[in-house]
Amino acid sequence: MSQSSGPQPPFNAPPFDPASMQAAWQQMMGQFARAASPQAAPPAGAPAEMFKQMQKAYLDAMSRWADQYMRSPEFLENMKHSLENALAVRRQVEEFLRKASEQSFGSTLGVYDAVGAVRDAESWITRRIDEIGSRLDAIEAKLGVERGRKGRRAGKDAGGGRAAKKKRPSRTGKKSKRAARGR
Amino acid sequence: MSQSTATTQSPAGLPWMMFPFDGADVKGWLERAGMMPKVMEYARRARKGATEYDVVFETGSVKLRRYRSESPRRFATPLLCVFALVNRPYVLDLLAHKSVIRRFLDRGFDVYLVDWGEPTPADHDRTLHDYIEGHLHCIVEHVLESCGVDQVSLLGYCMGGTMSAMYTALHQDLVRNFILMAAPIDWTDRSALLALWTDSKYFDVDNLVDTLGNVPPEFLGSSFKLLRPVDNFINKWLGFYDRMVDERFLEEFFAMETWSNDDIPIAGEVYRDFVKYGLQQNLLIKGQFPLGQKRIDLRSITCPVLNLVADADHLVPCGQSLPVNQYISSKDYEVMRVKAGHIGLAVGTKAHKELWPRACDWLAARSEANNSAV
Repeated sequence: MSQSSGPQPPFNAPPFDPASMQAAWQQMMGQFARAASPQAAPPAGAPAEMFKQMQKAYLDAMSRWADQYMRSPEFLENMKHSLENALAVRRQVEEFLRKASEQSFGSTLGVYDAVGAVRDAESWITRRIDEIGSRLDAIEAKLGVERGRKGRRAGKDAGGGRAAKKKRPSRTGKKSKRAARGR
Repeated sequence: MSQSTATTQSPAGLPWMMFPFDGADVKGWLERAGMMPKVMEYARRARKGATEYDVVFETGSVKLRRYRSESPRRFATPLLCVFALVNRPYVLDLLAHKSVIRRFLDRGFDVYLVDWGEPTPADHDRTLHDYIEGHLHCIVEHVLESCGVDQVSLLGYCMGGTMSAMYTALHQDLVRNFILMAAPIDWTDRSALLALWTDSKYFDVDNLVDTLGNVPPEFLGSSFKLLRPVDNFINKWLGFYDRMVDERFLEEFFAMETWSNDDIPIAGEVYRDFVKYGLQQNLLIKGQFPLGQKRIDLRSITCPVLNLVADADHLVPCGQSLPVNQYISSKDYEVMRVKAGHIGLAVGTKAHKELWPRACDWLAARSEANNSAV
């Protein structure tokens, strides 16, 4: 397949080339021949060793071929379509089940609506808490700077340097509690 | 013997190449058959992690483990390990002789590990921002408070490394040392098969996440295994047949199998963020990776950075993690490489012999000593 007739390969991936398969095959057979030649194989335990070498050559060739094939535009296109189809089927099944449950358990639909409403409210509240948290962090950061200045001044006056160490605990407490609530 | 010779002379029916034995080695076959009860025993006995720990903090499904150690704590700066969201974190403590956690404990570090837990369908809308600025930040602050220190050392593995880099960029004042372990930072290198498969031309991440919510573990697990089909579906079992008479090998094999099949789902929005802004748009190195209202600027990283890279990594090729020094401002930057794969970096014999002792030295030289240690 020429490059212009099919989909363009992404990045530098070469299109799948049957010639490369041939080359891999020839290389494998060459290795087979070397492994099987009487000069190459030691006399003792030769068949087992030869078998191992041939097996390795075969599997290496398969591995190279599989890697090259999985990089080819043909494979990537197939993968894309397979995934799209699988997801489409999944959506159709879900839609079918939803409709079936609507028909069978229509009376419980109100419950689903209520649960949905609660979840929406929960999302809204979580977002608001995050926003408030960010604003609080910003305020604390500003206050921290001022506190740090005051602390350093106080430290100088008192002759100690411990004030700066106490910068973080307030933030820790709030964030941990927020996280424990499940964010 | 004759059967073997006959088979090897007719390579046309090649599928026999996948059989683990040549038919002549009857003694070997019988020896392996005799091992089967032991094999079953090791399969049943496989544990998830080797070192005792306490869960010292919990936020939602996320747990913080603090590992117990009999070695004296020689360093006041605690080490916090952050693993990826796509697998369980106990690969860092798989077996006692292959445990990254144990290497650091033995050296005298106070070691913590983040266990992200398993997201439920209700967690599908959790974003990277929730994980990094929410959970991870709470955990770091908890560690700082409980250890009474101002800074931690962070170790991030794979996606956990990318997340740790984002965290360090946002909170450099809280991180003393930063260790990256096979962490993708720059996705310009598209040589990995995974980069190709997730290319926006072929992979619609929005469609996937909108349809499935959380990305199921089967999807992730099978994708990772398909990246190296011959190794994962054939070579692994041939190797197993070859070495199944060795009990040490059985212990390691089943520990690894247990971990690699212990997949968990990933929250849909996290997956979308990571694939879209990372793998597809490569925004992290451009300083444009969005995290909540912020953008990640890696230039904010100024602490000492150690970059651990696996030369034969098929998931995160060196080209994706080595260029990190171009984007950070750290003056103290070092790379350590080992000839291993992505997981071999954590559990490989070579890595534990050659890499981790040096990594421990590196961290020890840059950590605050524990003056109260005996």
